[in-house]
Amino acid sequence: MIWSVSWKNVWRNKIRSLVVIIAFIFGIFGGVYTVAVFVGMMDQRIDVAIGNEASHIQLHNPGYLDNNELKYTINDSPELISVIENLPEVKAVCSRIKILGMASTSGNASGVMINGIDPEKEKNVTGIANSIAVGGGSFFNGSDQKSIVIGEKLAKTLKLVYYQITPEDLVRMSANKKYKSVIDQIGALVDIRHRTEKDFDLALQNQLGEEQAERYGYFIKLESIKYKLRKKIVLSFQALDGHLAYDAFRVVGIYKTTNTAFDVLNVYVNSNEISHIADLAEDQSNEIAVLLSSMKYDKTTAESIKKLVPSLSVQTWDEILPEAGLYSQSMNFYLMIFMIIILLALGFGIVNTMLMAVLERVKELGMLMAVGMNKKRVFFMIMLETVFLGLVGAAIGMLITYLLVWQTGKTGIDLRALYGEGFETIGFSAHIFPKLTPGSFYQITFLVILTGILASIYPARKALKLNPSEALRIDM
Amino acid sequence: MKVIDIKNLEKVYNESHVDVHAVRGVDLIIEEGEFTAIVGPSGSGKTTLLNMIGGLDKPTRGEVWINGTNVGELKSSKLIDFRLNNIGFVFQAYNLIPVLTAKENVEFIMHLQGKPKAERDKRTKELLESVGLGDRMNSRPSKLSGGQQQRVAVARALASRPRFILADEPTANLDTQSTENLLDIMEKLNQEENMTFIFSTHDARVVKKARRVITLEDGKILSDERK
Repeated sequence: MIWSVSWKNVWRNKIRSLVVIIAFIFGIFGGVYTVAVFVGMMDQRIDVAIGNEASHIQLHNPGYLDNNELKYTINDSPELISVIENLPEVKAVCSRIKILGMASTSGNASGVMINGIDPEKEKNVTGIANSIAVGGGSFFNGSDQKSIVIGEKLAKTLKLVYYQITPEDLVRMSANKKYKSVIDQIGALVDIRHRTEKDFDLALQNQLGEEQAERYGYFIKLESIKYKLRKKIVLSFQALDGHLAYDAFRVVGIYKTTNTAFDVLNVYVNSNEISHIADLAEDQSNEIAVLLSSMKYDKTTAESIKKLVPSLSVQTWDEILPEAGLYSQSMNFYLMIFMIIILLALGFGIVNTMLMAVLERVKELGMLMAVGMNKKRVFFMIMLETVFLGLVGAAIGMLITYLLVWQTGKTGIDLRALYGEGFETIGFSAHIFPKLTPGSFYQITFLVILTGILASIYPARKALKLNPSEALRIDM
Repeated sequence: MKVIDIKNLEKVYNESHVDVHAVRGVDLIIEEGEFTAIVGPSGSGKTTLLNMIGGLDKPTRGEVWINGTNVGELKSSKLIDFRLNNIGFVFQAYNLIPVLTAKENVEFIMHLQGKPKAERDKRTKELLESVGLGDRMNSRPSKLSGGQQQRVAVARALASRPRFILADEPTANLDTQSTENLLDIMEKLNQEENMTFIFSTHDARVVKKARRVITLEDGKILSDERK
């Protein structure tokens, strides 16, 4: 019956109870949704980190890790690859020659990491082949000699891109509702070639105005960027014997990931061509990358490989890209602070509300104690009221959050127009797909309800301190 | 048979560092089945005396014995249980639980006593019928008149089968008709079930019905008349 009294007491002051319930809803929504956004971001980052950059496991000659020097090679790479390929949970393996060098065009030069690869094997391990930009050629087509695939960011640095809205681009953009309000102004820019991004930004600002240019600029640039394929890039580097080696490669493909720092650094060429220039034997490489069927096997498989080749360094993705782990940890830390702030605000809100609920019922509580309701039951009744409020708020909050995460998890939160470049600079996509782990969902809901219960202890104790005879004398 | 035995009872409040003697050396015995009114002007100590009899206030000196138990010596938790099982309370402002119906208000006390559902239902029905509210069992207090609410309060006070009922100015907020009804019901319960009633009151109508009238003044018994 005390349960029933508590439940009825909750609805005694509907507006006040609704305010507390809404506080619970916001507490859960704020906490869980923020976690979902960050988890989504981190998962996307880790997916990209593993899929394009580090794979699950990498093997190196230990000396290579110190200075990235070409001479520290893994010998008999093909043999080692076939052994690793036979390990359970291994999906694909490839080897790479990795040389720090310089990429130059007539327009500019930039330091790069030259990745000498077997394109067919690389396709099975990393997603670079699937990251070729629209209009950016292909990931090696097999027949071309001395071809190179570079990142879009490097292409920009080496002045291998320009911006031009073609009539076809305009037709495509006209069909997209997104550009409806600016399509006429964009039309004025058709077939005008802008040599640099800066020039195009200025043209957009002049044509659309500053505000619209900021809003649509990112997407218009995506639609109108053009790549100067077939141009030559000269790669120069120190060969194995120390002499300066160089050769010209023709750009056949331009890739774009969500990590511009990676895109500006890594270029891909055929390993047999670069090994010849670098004076390496055909079976020598600097890196072997291993893709597993699932991330959960990374540590155990790394251990197995270590046993097979104790002389080599075997690292898992989080050791190769410690910044990804660091982001994850620092995000967890920020999330914790964020949650503490939410929970404190919620807690004080509940203390205030429940204190009001107790103080306005002093006479009634005094009566209950006078007629024989013991302190335990009074305490339980007040606590139960908060628990009911919390449960109602938690149920609604969980449902709303779940639906929103589900919806935005499908469509994504597109912040690319505002933060696209900034996010990509640090390796994150600004098109975020929130993701909920059941653990964090229940954990936060539990924390919110626990906060509610803890926050109701003070008002409930206040009720216990009432003296029935004094409480009954109060005029209310 | 003695229900209440009060010996040399005193209560001193310390208000703003000044001692206020609310009750001064009261000796009193209440027998089973009495219908007693405690009267006196405001500040004479009626409510304080009732609170000490009911175990709501601790005496400064003296003793209150109820059925052989010295109420003043009971610890807080024991005292609450003691009140639950021995004393019925009726308050001036009715003090029903507003979110519960008349039936639930009466039943609640028996729930606190841990009585089974069937017994609770039966007794609640009987009690509400005996106070003339058999047809308003499912009404909430806000839907009842003051007199009806006070009758529910009387039914609630009786629900725990107490040794006696303490009623602090039970008719102060009621009109003449409601007062008559309430007094008739309480008198009937007193006569038919031998229930002991102790009122504090200003109300001449209550005094008229009482069979024993104790007059207090300045915390002392000025007179104790039996009719």
